Amino acid sequence: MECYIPCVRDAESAAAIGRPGADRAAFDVFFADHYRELARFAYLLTGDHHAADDVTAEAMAEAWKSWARVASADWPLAYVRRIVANIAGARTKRLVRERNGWRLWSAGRGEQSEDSDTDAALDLRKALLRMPARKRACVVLRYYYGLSERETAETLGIAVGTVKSQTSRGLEELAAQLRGSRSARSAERGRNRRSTAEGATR
Amino acid sequence: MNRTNRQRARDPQPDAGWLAAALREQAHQHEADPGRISARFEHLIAGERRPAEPRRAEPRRHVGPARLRLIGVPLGFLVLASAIVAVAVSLGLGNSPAVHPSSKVAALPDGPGSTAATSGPGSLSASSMALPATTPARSATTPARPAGPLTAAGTVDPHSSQYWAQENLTVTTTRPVRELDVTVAVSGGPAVRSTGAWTTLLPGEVETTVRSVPDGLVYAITLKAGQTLQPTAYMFGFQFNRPGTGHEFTLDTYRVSAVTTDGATESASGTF
Repeated sequence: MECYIPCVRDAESAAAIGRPGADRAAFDVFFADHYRELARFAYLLTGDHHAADDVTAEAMAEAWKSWARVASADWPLAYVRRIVANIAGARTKRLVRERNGWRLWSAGRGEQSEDSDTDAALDLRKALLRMPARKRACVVLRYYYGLSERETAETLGIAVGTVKSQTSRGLEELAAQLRGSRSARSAERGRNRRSTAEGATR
Repeated sequence: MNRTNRQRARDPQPDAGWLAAALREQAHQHEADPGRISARFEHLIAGERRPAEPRRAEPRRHVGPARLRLIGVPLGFLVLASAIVAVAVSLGLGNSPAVHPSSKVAALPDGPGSTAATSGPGSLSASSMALPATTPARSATTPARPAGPLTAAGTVDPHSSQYWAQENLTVTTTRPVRELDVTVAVSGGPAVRSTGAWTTLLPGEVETTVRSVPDGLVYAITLKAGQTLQPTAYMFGFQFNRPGTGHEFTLDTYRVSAVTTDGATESASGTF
């Protein structure tokens, strides 16, 4: 998979020190306006609450380090979404290792939240996580954010044609998988209902 | 802004409404934890800045509360949809945006599964001396012997609220250390619950435990045998949910003891 993160380090990060307060204020506004939604984006990409917040924090840190570039972009939010998508993509691979390392005794919000999932939500999350990161990002940008193919391509820094093919394949895969798990479940329920009904007539 | 309108106006694909709805439902299961995001963000920024201002314990720019005040505005409308991910944030909420930094900042989840644990440096290759950017809300007890080889200062993190708090401890050594024990006792009884802890030491360098005791909580961090710490400032953060009443910062204590590589035993203690 090619890397679609914008290159944001080096010279600019050195300039971050002693940056005028006005920049900081603008960044703070950006942060306040978008962290919540970016965290949701990250959640759709990682399927994990902790990871979503951490990815958001990392993306915000990247954004701050290259704030001059982000702020002057046509669409700063797209720029930061791209950072989120990229970090989340890398993160899903790293996640397990990290969990075993640093997290000493953080009680898992991630584990808890599973309980609140409906069957359908759980199916969707699983199906999403089965996809390669870029396909997942395409599907989420197109169908969660309602971005056009061109905007999605711009956001991820990939070709429109790629967005088109990834998205339509992704959509088909999701639909097939969800249909599969739905029908499996309703068959199950049907069986249960029948046996209850039979029990009642006897 | 135009962009937003354009986005809204355009429906993705006519037959994919189900997916849009399902994704929305999925996304809304996640309420960002601003305390966690902020803490990690600042940690990363602190790491970034470190080369320019090595091992100064004070004058980091006071960025946290300013940003959190801004966050407060949108968060005021946060709806606690899920009983489990109940994140109540009261950052100035509907109050004046110029809320005093020491007033309520962030209320973090207090359910059984909640956590405000700051994830550690992780991929950040923070060496042991990275300092977080937060500045103490109020300065606490000054070390007994400021000029000695071991000093410690405890502060209440400005992100603390009436429901959740972080206490920060800065331990500074001027000699290499081969043993280090840090103990923090939090008052408030059994209703005080740990939500995590972090340190600028690397995970592999320390053993960390937290115990519930009748008086509250006791955190203990011990340098593993065979590890040596170079002289610098080390940061520790202790995070917990606070009950409505019964917890007093001034009753929370820290005790640090260290053995230098030349065999001298040093200690420092105080309150937050």
